[in-house]
Amino acid sequence: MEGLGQWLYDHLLSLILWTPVVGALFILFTHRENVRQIRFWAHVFTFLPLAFSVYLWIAFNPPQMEMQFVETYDWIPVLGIRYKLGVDGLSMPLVVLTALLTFVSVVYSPTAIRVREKEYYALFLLLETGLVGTFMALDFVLFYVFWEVSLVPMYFLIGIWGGPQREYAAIKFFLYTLVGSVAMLLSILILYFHSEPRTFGMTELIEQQPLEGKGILQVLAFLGFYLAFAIKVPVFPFHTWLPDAHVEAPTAGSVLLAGILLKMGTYGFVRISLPLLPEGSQVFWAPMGVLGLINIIYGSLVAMAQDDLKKLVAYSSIGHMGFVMLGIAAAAMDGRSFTDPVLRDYKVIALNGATFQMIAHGLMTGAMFLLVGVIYERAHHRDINRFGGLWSQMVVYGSLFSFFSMGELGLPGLAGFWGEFLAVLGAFQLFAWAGLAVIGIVITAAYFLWTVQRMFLGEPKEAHSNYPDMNLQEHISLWPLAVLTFLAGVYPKGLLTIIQPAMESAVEKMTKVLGGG
Amino acid sequence: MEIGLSHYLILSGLLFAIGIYGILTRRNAIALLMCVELMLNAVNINLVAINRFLQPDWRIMTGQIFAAFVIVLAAAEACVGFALVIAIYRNLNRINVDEINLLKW
Amino acid sequence: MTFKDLFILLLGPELWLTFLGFFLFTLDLIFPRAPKKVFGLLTLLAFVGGLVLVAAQVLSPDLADEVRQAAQENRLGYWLVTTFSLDGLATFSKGAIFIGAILIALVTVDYVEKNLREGIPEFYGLMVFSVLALCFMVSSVELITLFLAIEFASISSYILAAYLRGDPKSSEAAMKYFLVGATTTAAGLYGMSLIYAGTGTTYLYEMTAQFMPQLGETGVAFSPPLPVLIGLLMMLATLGFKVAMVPFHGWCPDAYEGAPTPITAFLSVASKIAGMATLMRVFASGFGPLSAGWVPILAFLSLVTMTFGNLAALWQTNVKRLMAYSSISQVGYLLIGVAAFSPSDFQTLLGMSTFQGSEMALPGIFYFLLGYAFANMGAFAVIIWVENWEGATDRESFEGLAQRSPVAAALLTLSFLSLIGIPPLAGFFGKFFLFGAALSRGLGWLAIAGVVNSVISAFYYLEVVRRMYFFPPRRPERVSTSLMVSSAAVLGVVGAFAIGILTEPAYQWAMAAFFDVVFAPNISFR
Repeated sequence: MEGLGQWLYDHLLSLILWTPVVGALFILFTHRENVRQIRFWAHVFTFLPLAFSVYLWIAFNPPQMEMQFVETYDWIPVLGIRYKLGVDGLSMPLVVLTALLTFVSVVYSPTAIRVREKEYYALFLLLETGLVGTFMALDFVLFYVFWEVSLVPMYFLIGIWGGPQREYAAIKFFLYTLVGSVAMLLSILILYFHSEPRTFGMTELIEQQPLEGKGILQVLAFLGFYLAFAIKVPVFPFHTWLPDAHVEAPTAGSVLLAGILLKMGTYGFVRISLPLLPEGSQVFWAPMGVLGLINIIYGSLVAMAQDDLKKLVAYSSIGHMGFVMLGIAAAAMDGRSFTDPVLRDYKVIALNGATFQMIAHGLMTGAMFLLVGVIYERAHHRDINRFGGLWSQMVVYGSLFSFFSMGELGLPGLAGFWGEFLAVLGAFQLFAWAGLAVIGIVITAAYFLWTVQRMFLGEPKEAHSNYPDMNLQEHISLWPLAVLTFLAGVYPKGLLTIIQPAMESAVEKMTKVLGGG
Repeated sequence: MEIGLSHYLILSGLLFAIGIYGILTRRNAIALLMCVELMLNAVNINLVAINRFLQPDWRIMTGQIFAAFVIVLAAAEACVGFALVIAIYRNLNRINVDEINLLKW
Repeated sequence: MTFKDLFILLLGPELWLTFLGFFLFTLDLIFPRAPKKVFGLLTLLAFVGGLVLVAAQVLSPDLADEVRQAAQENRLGYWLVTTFSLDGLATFSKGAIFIGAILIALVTVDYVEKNLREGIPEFYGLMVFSVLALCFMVSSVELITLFLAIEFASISSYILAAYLRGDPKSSEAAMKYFLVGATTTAAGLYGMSLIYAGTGTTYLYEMTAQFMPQLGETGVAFSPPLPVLIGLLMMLATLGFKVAMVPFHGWCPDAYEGAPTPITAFLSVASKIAGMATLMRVFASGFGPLSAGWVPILAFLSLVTMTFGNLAALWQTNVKRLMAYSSISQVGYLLIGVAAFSPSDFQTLLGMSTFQGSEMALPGIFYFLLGYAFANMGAFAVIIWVENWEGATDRESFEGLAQRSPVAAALLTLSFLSLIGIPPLAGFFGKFFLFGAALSRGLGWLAIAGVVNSVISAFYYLEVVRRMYFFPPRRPERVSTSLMVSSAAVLGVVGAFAIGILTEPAYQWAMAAFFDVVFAPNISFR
């Protein structure tokens, strides 16, 4: 028993990573007509990683700055490519979030997905492996593999089970992301060829700083990564795939797209761009900040103009990710900011906010898309103006929707507040024009409140008098998210103590390179 | 004037050029085959002449042997070529390559 | 070892194929009523046996030493060891060719039963002979031998391409294939004669030996004397024709579309591997010291080839034709590796300076070829799977395949993903090595062109995938096939997966091949 526990502990990350694949195999060998069993396997094999990742959360040692639960095996020794996994305060919450959202989505899916379920659940499990792997991988080749692996299942999820424009949305999503990732591939190769000794290891490369003082090469490498990450986030003007993909994807697909896939981009910025290419980040800190602001304001404004509920949530994502980018820009800022310890602390605060916002946004937007799905299953349309007075028919639904809307608009006491607050606070101390983000917050508040008003208040309408309230699956999938949103709001310290050391270490690594000047 | 290597090379170059020119301009499949033969014979002249003028040891006859192989292969190739022309003619009743255009992009 | 043992070990696969080829031709005369399937199985046996023999050659490590020693002691004919080489390049390519050929044999049997009425034994016999010719091609290190092998392979392929006798498309395809082939071969021969004039020999590595001292003195690659350079470029026509490189690709789409589909697969896999191996043999290995002369040209041709192939593929509606353009573009990627190779690799390996990274280039090509062979065969097996059922290969035949045969659709999708270069499939690592080599060599623009092209290629591959998965099925009935075709498809995809995940052993094998290529010129048999 002792041995088993130790073994579990040593291979925890691999277990989280590969159980979904095992589940996918189980599903592949189940007959396609046997839908009950397929669903059963899907539930089991998304619950297991969730259980493992909860254990990961408990066993995680927050104050430790280095990677934890590291597993290293040689994969392609000639080229120094390894199978290396590990998590720190940045990636661990994201891993848990991924496991949670995948489980929640699978629980929700049976109400929405009625055709080709075998393929659906198999792809879904595969997607989970890709996503989790991206956050765990500490070797660039492995990172790239998972980055791309997550792309393919999503393409099919959008293309087969999506809305009317699904094919266009699917190919657009695929090609946008592919453009970014091949650019990243070139940057990875540049890094590899300048490392001595040759390595693809992320931590080793950050240690080596192979492109330090290489001027144009560092900038080029940065731009390669930037393209990949900015498309994923998405940063204005690379965002045009997002409304299509989010709106056309099936509900569960939208949950993972908004909840996790977008975070791959911001995760990349914090994990790779900042500490590995500090000089490159420094060159582009101002454009990054401006684009973050544009994201916030533009995303909110466009969201306000939407009548389609799902589109509204999609554009609100663009706005919210702007806050993350603002925090990252603050961390990258040049000038005295690395020599002055006070300003350095603000960088950490801004990064804390950015990472907090990633988690909070994952929880809340995931829930929002589920809520959109709930109403769509009943009404078969998503036009906000055609709803009204829903609260009187669907009490729980209305309450939850309002709750998450409050979270999204940044009500203090809920998760959404802390991320935005810390990111803007940190950024504001470094460059005052970050304060313009407040405009975005105001607009966001306006359109969420207006949406709640249009949908839930007023006279109940004849057309939806017979809508039942949420069913069991919908309850199971939404309540955990609600509870966590609340908990993260009232007790942000629980999350911040985990995030903080990782952010400090990132800023410290940047200081090591930039602090001298 | 003594006939030297350059004369042979110029002759073969001319033959080769005529062959290429024919390939590019003629449209009759048989004529094309003849042009290919011209090119191959240019090669033969080259090989034999080079061997004769550049190889000091007269017992080493690599070029000539090469030429003999080329002749044999040219015959084999012509065989297959004409068989294909006949097949085309049976199927389509024409041998003008411009008119053979079932496949195009 | 006696001469006889060595001879048999050295020429094992070739002797075996010769024997079985003639056997297939005569069997029909002796037993005219023999069921036609027997011939297919015998062909399969021929290729499996060939692979086993190649494996035996690879796994007997001192064979090369034995051969060298025997040559020095005059126990092995001088004519043999100077014309026929059994280095890593040869064994690796033969292995890859046989793997491709086995999969081709698996998909041929059903197709032949369905589409051919007469001449079936000869069809199989010619297939065996073409593979035999390809084996000679990758092993020959002398111009006359090389020329004979190339012609042998080409002539067999012309006949095979024309084998659907009643189908004018097939005749037309073969005709175009033949005309381009004959012209480029003649040009290549003229080039050989010029090289002969410039160097006074037809032995490839004697030429290298002439140029090596100059390389050693200056340490930089240099341009060859003019006749040799022109000769090399004209030989490039022949080899470029074999691998379907722009501007010698004209035959490729037509021949691919018109030829019997297994022959299309043969042309795109086995024939291409042999062509690429020979190209490396002549350029990288034989004329490596002269790379300053040919690297810029190949780099440019690589760019043109991949861009043209990908752009033209975008408009294709027939999947066989699409595969033609796709295979042209894949040659473009492969040429990146040849262009990224340079003689400093000779020096690195001879211990003159440190490793630079272009050590990825040639092993990358070998690795890419192997992955390409698997993925492409997986794709062609599924195409034949559908063609045998639907009788056509236009895009519409693939609509809704995911519901009519989920396995076929999944296999084709995975093959295509490998060809796009999505990890962890083999296609990704192949591109990874090649682009890496280009970057390390200062050919960044070529690497960028490569990745841009990969993105473009996603369009047309995904177009087929889209039709398979997102379209409703054209007809309700399932698309089933024989065990042989489906196992070929599965083997192809599993292979692409396996060497993607087990990159290390595949890459090591490719490394060994690469070392042999580089050292081959230094091993003198005299």
